[in-house]
Amino acid sequence: MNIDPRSHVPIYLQIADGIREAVAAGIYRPGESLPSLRALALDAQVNPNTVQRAYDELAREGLIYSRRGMGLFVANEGTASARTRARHAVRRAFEQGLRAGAAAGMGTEEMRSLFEATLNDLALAGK
Amino acid sequence: MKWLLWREYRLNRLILMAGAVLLLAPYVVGLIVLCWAICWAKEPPVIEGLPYAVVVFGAAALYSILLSLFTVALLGGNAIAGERADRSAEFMAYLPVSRGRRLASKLSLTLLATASIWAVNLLVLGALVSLTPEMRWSGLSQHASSLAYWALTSLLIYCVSWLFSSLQSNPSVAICTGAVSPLFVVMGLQAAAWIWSMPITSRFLPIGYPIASLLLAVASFAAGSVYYLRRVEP
Amino acid sequence: MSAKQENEAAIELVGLTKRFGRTTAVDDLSLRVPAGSTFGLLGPNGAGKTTTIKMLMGLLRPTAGRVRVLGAEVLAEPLMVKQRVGYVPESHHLDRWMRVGQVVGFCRALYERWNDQTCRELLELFELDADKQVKHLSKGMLVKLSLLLAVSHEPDLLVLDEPLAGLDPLAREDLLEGVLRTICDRQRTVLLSTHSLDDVQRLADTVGILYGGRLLVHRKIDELLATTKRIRATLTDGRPPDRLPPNTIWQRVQGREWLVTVGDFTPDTLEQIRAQPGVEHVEIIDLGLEGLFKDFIRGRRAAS
Repeated sequence: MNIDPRSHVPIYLQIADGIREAVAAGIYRPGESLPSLRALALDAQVNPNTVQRAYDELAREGLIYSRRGMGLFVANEGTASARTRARHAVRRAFEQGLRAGAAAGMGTEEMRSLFEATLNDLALAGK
Repeated sequence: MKWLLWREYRLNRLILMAGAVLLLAPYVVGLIVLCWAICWAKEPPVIEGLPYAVVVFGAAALYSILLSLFTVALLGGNAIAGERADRSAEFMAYLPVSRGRRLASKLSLTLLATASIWAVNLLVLGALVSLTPEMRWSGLSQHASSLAYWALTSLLIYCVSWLFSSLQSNPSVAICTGAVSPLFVVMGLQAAAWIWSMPITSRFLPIGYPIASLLLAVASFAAGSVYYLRRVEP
Repeated sequence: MSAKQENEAAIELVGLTKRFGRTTAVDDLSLRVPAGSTFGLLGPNGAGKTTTIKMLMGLLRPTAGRVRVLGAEVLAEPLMVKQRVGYVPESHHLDRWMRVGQVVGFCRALYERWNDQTCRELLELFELDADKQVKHLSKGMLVKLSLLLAVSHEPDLLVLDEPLAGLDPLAREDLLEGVLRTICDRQRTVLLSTHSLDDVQRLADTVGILYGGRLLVHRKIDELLATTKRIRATLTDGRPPDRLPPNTIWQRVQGREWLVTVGDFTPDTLEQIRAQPGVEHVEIIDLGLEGLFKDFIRGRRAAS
């Protein structure tokens, strides 16, 4: 997992996002165990307390749960929950873009056509 | 402690090798002289009623002792300043070993080296004396007291080198200061004699020199050791 | 953990000062690092980080102030402190003629607690050749060896002075792993002194910014990032307000653009700024640690 310390997103959120994406992509399936604190800390090259915070955040969302003495596991609703969170994240990104457009004085129609143009370009690029 | 002593040995290895050379060189020269005398002269000469070999090796032993004064200056001068010069003192500084133990290992090495040098030379002299019992060793006590003077001078040189090794980080400065210190003692005594109008050579010097050098040696060693033990910086 | 253990500070500096002739390298520094935390001492070169660390380790006598490490006065109980603190210095002066195996053996004999297994694992991980002489080791290998020596005796406190400076990316990774292993295995206290913001963000949970021998701020990183914001506003007549917001760290006026960085930021602060006459289009900018660090330094420079 690659962490960018320079990003304005706190490191623990970057880790949480990374785990969420992995779950959404099916790398960790419901019921499977997640990497230990130590393993993930060494892999991401960050302080284990930060990993703990990331895991705490994910547990709060219900994406993962912990079994005493056995570690952390993906919740059964995990994949669906991850997809929901992904939706939320995309919506947040859209909101940010729209706010920036509004601040620059763009109208609704202009922004809509700009969105569709961007979507078409990405589709052409094969994503 | 073994590792400390091993490290001190490695740090002073070159000096110890030099000391060994200085110890043995006079004997090698003596051997050459003896061989030459035997090869060229039909009969080796007798000097003052003593066999040639005895005189040659006796002289070699005395020269060896004289040269050991320089070895002792090297050992004293390098003892503490050597570590500072190559900055390995900074490494030792954060290891959990007390200055006291480090001081003890430095002294142990010096004592071992010096004792070895003197042991070799004294054994040679002792052997030479015992090999010629029939000769009158007229000036034996005189020879013994001059050996005592050399021993004292040796001590003085070491202690002054030690002090300057402790105070700063250039071993050469410490070595040279130590090597030169006996001359300063003599100069000081000469000056004192002139000030108090005393006849220097016959009585003042033979008594004054041992006392002055012993005092200076003890004071230098104590000051150097206390400073080293109490200093915080490496 | 008992209450006493939780409250015990691994490091306690009170009014620490060091003067070299006319220069003041460390100026009335007071700092408390609680046990179990990872503290990043951040500052530009010449800020006094190494001087502070040397006083912490008992390698330098302070001009004034007190240094307590693991509950003991450093100059009063130097051996106890050195037994329990692992130190990776900025410049390495191991005996150059010693071989790696000999250095390890030498140190092993001096420490009371020595973990042979940790030592072996790290020798393998760092790929250190026991027969190689110190003088033939690259800078990266020297640092790794220093870390190995510092960590193998199970210290309660690990002090690292610019460990990652000048290392190639691979050596950096190795060293980060070595440091992280020690943070993970036992909840040790770690003090990391560096000018690299990336490393502080990765490893530390608390940060202290040192500049000109003075501690500018000492806070948990997350708190600091959350409560320090930069405001960008338009000044209608190009003049900043007479009253600056409380806890202003730094400000700059360029034409009509006003940038001001404020600590302990609350919604009230925002309202106060908006309420000022001649101030429009107030916008909050999130700062990363780098931006924050620079603003603290710039603010201090402007003040002195």
